[in-house]
Amino acid sequence: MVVMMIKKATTLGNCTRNFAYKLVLITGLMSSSLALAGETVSVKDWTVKWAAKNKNAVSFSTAELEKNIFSGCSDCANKKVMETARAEFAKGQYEKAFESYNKVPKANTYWLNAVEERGWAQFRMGQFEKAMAQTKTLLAPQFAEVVNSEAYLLQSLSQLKICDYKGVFETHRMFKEKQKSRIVEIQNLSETGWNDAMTALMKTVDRFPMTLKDMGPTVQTLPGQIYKDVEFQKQALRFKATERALNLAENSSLLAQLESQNDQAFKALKKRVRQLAQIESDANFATVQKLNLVEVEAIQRVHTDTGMADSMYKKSDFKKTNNDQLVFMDDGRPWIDELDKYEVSAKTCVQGLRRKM
Amino acid sequence: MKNAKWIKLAIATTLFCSLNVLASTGKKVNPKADIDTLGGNQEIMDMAQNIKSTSRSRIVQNRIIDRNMALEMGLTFGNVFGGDSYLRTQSLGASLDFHINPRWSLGARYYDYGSSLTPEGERISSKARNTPAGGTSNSFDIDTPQNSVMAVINWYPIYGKTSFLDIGVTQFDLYVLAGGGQMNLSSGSTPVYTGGIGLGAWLSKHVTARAEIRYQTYQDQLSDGSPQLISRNLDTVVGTVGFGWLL
Repeated sequence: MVVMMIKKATTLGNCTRNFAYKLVLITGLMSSSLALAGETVSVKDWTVKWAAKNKNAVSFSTAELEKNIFSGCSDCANKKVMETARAEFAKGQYEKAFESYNKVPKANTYWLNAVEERGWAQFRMGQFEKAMAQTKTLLAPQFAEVVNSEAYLLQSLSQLKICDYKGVFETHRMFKEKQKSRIVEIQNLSETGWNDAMTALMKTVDRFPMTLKDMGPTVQTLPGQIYKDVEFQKQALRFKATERALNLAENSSLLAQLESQNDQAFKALKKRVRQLAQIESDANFATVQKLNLVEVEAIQRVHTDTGMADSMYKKSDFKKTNNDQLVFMDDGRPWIDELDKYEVSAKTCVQGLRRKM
Repeated sequence: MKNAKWIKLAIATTLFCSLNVLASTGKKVNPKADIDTLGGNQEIMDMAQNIKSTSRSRIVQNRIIDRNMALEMGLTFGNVFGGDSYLRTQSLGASLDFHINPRWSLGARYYDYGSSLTPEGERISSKARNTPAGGTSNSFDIDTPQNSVMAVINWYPIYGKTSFLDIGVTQFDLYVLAGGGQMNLSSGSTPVYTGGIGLGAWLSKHVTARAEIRYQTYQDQLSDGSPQLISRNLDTVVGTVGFGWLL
């Protein structure tokens, strides 16, 4: 039966170049989950109420507010799934870990991590084509600039394993284009603890706990999933609350106290951002190291594998599909509903081949 | 030979860069040395083209709507093009389609027709009516379609999806259909045969939309003034649009 496929062009392709649109897509995918506790509070409203109630107050504290906001856990189920999956991965139970990662729904902030980690599970199981199917999602235009740099390493290593050296170099070029500025920005942030994104975020944020949606475009130049860090959120809340209270307070001793608290919160916030940026920078450093090693290995193998007989390669084909499945060509510009739906088929070199220089 | 020398140099340079990275104590990425050099060697890229390993990728996703053993009911509005030049005919219809699987479905269609005279029909009709007794005029007769019942078989070989203003993605199928049934004309009943193409869009789990263009043929009976009626083959094109509900 001849089956033709049509995928109508829409404005979506053009939009994917726009970061704001990407953010909307990501937010749309992940909006259902909050990083922290259940209650969401507007700092502006809270400080106005506080000022009305405490006209003669001589001290200011956000302790009660913090307790309300940060004491619970709104996404414990998925957090637990990730913890289970990671524990299984650590034990080498990759099949089980893969199944666990699959339980994380697409509309969740852990989803991108789950996709990457199940890719690593498949890599460890020697399923390099399947691992590459995961990285296709991770490195799709919607995520390529905000995804963890290790996703590039996963793709690069998988391509090296199947001897797709051209693919290795293309992945590295893409890494350079999409991740370089972010890596540099995060590295700088690990020294300064503050950048334009932090200024923009602190200007606009009002509701706590912050979600990915509240972060806006700043996610691109701040440590990954910074909004999930309780300490960061606490310090940001203290900074915002004291800043708001400063505008409302009249008592001079309270004003002095608020100024001091605001300064402390600012310093603590910077320190935390520095720490988080340092963690990511260390990880980026290791990834870049490994990418360089993969590149060296690929260059060497290009030389040794040139002219390798056709019999040394194994060609696999796509799985047969049924009537309930739709197949579309990969044009490099996936629609939002196509993410996580990739299949990769490769002509791979024999594994464990001994090469001579 | 020239190439081999060059490759060795490239390997040595990259190794040197990598060792530099490993030896780095500050754990700082040097963008120029560590990132800019990645994938930057065009000659190696060209050589890599000759390696026989390749990978292909595609996107496989499930249909949003399950159309296995599913029943779809619909209402349609249509227009008949061609046929009797004196008549302008429109239809209101009801359809029932049983989807065996996403590729095949069997359908039953009922159409109720409403006809009016075209300007030319009005002119000829008026001329015939107003001819005085004993005068000469062409005879005027029309055989209007009243309703029809048809059974059709649909084959959905082409699928796709579209996005409307980024609101959401809608999957659709293009299909061909063929069938036949009975058409009631003002002169009586006659067999009708049809064949055409259509587009079925699956708007939600239950709501569907269809647009069809069908060729439809049947015989009508006309009087030319003699006692015997004359049979005439009518070839028409019917365009319909409608909405349905998938159970």
